[in-house]
Amino acid sequence: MGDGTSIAAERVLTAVGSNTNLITMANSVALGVSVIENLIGVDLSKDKELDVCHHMATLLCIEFNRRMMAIENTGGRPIA
Amino acid sequence: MITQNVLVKIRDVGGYLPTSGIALNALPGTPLAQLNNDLSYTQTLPADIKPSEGLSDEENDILRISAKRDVGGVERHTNDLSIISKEISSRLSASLSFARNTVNAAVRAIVDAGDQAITDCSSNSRFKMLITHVAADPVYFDNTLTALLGTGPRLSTAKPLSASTAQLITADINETQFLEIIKTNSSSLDPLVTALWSSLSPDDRSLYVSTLGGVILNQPVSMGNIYKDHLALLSYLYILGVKNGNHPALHELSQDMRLECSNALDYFAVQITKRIEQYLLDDKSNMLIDSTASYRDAVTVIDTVYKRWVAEKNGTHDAILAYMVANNYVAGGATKQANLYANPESFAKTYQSMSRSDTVESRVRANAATDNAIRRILTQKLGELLGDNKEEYRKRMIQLDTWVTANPYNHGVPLDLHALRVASEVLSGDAYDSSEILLFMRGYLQDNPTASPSTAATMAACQLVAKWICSQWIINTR
Repeated sequence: MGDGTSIAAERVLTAVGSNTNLITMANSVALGVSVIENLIGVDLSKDKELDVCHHMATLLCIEFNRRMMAIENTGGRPIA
Repeated sequence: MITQNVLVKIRDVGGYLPTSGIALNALPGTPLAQLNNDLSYTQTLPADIKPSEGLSDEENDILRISAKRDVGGVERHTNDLSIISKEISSRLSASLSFARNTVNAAVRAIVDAGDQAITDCSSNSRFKMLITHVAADPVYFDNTLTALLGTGPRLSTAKPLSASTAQLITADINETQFLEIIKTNSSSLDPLVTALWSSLSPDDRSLYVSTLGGVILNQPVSMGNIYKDHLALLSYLYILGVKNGNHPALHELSQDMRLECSNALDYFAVQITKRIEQYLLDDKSNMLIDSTASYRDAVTVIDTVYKRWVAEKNGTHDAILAYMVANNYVAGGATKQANLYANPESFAKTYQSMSRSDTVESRVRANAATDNAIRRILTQKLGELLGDNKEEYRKRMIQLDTWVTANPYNHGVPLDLHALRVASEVLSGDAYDSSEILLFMRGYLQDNPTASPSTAATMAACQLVAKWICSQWIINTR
């Protein structure tokens, strides 16, 4: 796994705040990037054109947000 | 703590992400399937969270909802990360390969066939015509000639030369003398005369001068081709020179011969004027659909006519085309059925109306042809994919027929998107997320024109992986 993974994980944590549950999200970034690296067979941290780590982190944040908003829309409220 | 503001900020960064991830569902019996079983829904609340223990109804609702998403496997199975990665990569690789080699190839074939259908149907349009010009000698529209001939009433005494006089005034004349006589009488016409003379081949010039008497005598009845009437003009100018006493061999003409020449000049003027008037009438029919041209719908327009049409009548291509179609003109069989010059605006409107209906008809035909191409191409692809599996082939063919019948192609929809939907649904079945991969790639490459397709494919893979990972999350509402 490239060094970019941990950087992306830090971005996630920085974006949403330090929270125990969100360690899962950081790990998710690590998993996602690992999958992509396996897929294309290169260390993504050395890719000049792609910022896969950032992209993966963004996607996960969006999905996290979507799920939380879905909960909120059912009458609940987002709780971290 | 996550606040509403933070959530909004995150949403603003990335927008909305729809759910999917079908391609990452493991095939039964694979290591990934086993892992998924380990990570599957617990359908129970975490042991340390109990409903109604000091929680509000809203919080209990949140717990109930989040419990359905309880798959904390990513965190619990961190040690298996490499195995999970490889399995997912393998499945995703198959999806990407299928999208690229099978679905994308079918989409490309359908788009090509659709484009060809549009071209074919449009080429049958009555209005897909080229306008070609045929050069014509503009002698009759030269202002100097008009001034020379005048527009007043002609003398009733106008008549051609007698044979004897014609023979007398043209005997022993050579080319040099012939041109000198004309030039002496009308220097202002010299460029025109020179041009006309130059248009003749040397043999024709020699023949013309040697038979000048006969030409002058018979000119009024031998003008078969209106574009060759410059011989009549030359004859007119020559007689004018003779009448004015410029003929080197005829130093003095009798009174009768001068009168005969004067009457002959009027006669030539009458004949030429008639030709001009006839030409003005003819130009209304001097636009033909040349069915013998290499492009069968070429509209042939006499250059002079076309220039007059544009310059004097503010005419347009549209009106000419409408005029041609409305009157069913064909090469060699043109008949005057309407006057183009009388109301060019009405022909322009006719063109617009006919063009609209023609375009609609073409599109309907092209849409139907595209649907046929979709059926043909996907039927072929299914045959290649399924081989001898007749039952699956039959099932997919029914699916194809149902889909195409329910979703006929409409030109208002991008053809590649339409093709992608049907190809993904029919060819992929439930096995791959081809449409999602290709749709993402399409959007990514449109937004990033300099990006490579492989980069777009990787980004599409990221999206699928992210969705799968999210499907494994526990949302802890405590």
